[in-house]
Amino acid sequence: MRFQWRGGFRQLGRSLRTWRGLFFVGFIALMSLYGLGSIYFASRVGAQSPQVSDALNKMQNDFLPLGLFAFTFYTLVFSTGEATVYFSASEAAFLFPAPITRKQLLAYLLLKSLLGITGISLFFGLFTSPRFGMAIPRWLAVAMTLSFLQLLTMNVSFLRQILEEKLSVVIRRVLGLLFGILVFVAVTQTVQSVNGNDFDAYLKVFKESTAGKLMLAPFFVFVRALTAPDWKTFFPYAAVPFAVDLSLLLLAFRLDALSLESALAISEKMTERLKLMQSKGAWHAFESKRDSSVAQRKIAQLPFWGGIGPVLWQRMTTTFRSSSRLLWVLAGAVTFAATLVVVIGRSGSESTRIVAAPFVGLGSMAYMSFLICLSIQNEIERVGYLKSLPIRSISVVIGDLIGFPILLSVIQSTFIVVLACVYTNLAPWLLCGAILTLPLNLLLFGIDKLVFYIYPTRLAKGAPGDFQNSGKQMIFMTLKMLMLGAGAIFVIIAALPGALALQSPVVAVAGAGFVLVVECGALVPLLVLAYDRFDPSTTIVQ
Amino acid sequence: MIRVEGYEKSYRNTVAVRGLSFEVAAGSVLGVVGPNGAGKTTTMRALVGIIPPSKGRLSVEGFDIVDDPIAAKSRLAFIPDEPQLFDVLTVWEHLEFTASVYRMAEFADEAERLLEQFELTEKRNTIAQELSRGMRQKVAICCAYLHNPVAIIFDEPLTGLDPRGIRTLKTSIRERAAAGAAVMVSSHLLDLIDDLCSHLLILHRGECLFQGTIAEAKSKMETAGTDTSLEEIFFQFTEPTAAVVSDVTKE
Repeated sequence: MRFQWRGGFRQLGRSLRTWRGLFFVGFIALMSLYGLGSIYFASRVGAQSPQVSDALNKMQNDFLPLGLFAFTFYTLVFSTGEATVYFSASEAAFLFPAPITRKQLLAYLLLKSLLGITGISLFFGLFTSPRFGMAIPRWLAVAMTLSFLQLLTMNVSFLRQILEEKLSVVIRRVLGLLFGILVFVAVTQTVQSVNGNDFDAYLKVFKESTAGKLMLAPFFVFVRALTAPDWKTFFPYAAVPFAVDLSLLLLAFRLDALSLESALAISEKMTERLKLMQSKGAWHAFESKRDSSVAQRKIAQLPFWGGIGPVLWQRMTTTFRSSSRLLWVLAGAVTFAATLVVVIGRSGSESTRIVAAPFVGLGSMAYMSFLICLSIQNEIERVGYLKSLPIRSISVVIGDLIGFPILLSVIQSTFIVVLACVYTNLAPWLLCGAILTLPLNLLLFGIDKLVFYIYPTRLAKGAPGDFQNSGKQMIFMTLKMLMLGAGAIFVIIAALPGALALQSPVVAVAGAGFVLVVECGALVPLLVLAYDRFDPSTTIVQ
Repeated sequence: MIRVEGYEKSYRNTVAVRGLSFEVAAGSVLGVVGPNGAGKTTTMRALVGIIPPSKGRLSVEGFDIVDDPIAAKSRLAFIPDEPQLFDVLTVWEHLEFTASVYRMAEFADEAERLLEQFELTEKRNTIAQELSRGMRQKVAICCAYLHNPVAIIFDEPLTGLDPRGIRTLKTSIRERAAAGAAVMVSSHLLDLIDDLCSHLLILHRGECLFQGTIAEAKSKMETAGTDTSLEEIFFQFTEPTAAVVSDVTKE
């Protein structure tokens, strides 16, 4: 622990030694202050107003037990608990062969976790407490709740290591069945008892049903401790979570099941995941390992097209073969957007129905692009390889850029066309809008690539105390947003005359499309320049 | 033929390689050795166009890598220390991709022959992600050989290869050189350099300490009355004091 803290402070000290580091650390400090200040201000203002205060308490009472139940359900039935027994690769290399007992290693793991929890809880305790005098009880209550989650997961992980695989599966299935029955009974009772669309009424009946009480009772004590108005009320309620946490802690030591073999396997898996995050982007870290059966998904070789063809073929084949999970996410996003459209379309006034619903659909699609653009990052190692091929830089840049936006645009356009079939009154606008998806995605991915070639950063876990890296990532994110915002302003200006004065979707889309194409065209030489300047030998991925 | 004249690479205030000049003639194999950070990989990367040189001229068969990169790159092949394959493409698709990039209309027979030579025939439909480190290295070598390059550059080529793979690679390098290719091999394995190379280039802190044939290097040591093993030559050039100490210890 001592060396870890020393390393963290050293990293921070190094960051502060240069003007650039000072700027990045200052930026993140400023943003954090802004965030903390907002929460503090909101909670204090909330405390002054009885309505806001009641609403916040009601939210905690209503949703926290449900959240804790859902987490417990997930942990017991599905989770492997790997994250709680994770040692970094260097910890595993130094500590596992060292003369240290398993219990000492477990104590180290728990202490590290406890320190993290203490920090987070302190933040929540201080900044969400309605009165300064109640900050400490709230801090303790949050710490006990988070410790419960951590210890439960750890014990589940240990039990899975002790029990035989078959028995473990049987127990999880039985638990899953029991929980499932309870939920089913509670939901059935609720649906039968409530008439109308009042969500609060559904929630109330659900919580007060016999099955609901059985499910949620163990978690209400945590909520009572969290929302205690004074010390006197806090103590009796806090005693139960404290006893639960203590029992789980003792159980973890009693089980003595920190298998070094499993911990090593987890460490290797997580380290591999981290490396993938650093080299290929956050998305790749959660992709399951593929086997050669994916090779059955084939895309025909493309013509040479000045060198664009082979690069584009490789990008599209890779996307096609490695994006099954991504396709699920896309399907989920489309379903979510469609549900929103339907819900908004069925309620509210006529104007809400015909304008808000399609607008939400289009907005969801744009958000999806943005989200995916942040997840699909560039493969840094391949840049060196691509640079060694006898293909012009412009061909590599174009081939590398257009693969994914094409796939995404096809999905989005299909959704918008379906939307146009439902909202026939807005069909011309929607159909014209569908045409813009490709240049919009190209602009979005192009800006992301450009910033990456100039400053390759990763949303990967940095070293402790490395606030410089976090600041850098925040700044680049802001930079991308600004670039996109500037581009969007010109697009909107170009679309306005057609949209407002002429009321013509064709003119509006033609104007917006023209500006988008010009912007994408202007990006290409910049991308080529940045690609040529990109030097893999000096690039330290962060 | 590979030619490097006055090559220099610097990063801000650090000079990674300083005024390096050498040639690899057709049919010869140049071994590049040097301690970590000597500038071996930086030189190779500049030669294949991955990083631009700060100064100097690097060319392959007379084509400058900066002024005429496509012509130069079409004639060379680079096998880096870590094979860069595409995870979800099969072994055969890597060869197909290489053929399309190098615009080879007929590649199947040569590709089959290379797969056979490097014992990858059974793995032709396996994706790169499922291959072991050694097999990935073999795929990278097959792709590099496919377009019959006149200049081949290897960076630590033996990493991950099994004894059979090592023998096959060594034989193939000799065959390629005999057929007229200019080959550069960078490695810390001095036995490999001794076994395979006709010429030697010793780099240290970005500067050239020796270049010439291996026989010349050995005769220089013989004249000085010291051991003529490549290991001793290496230390004599890079750490003269350490080499003297080692001689004393031996005595």
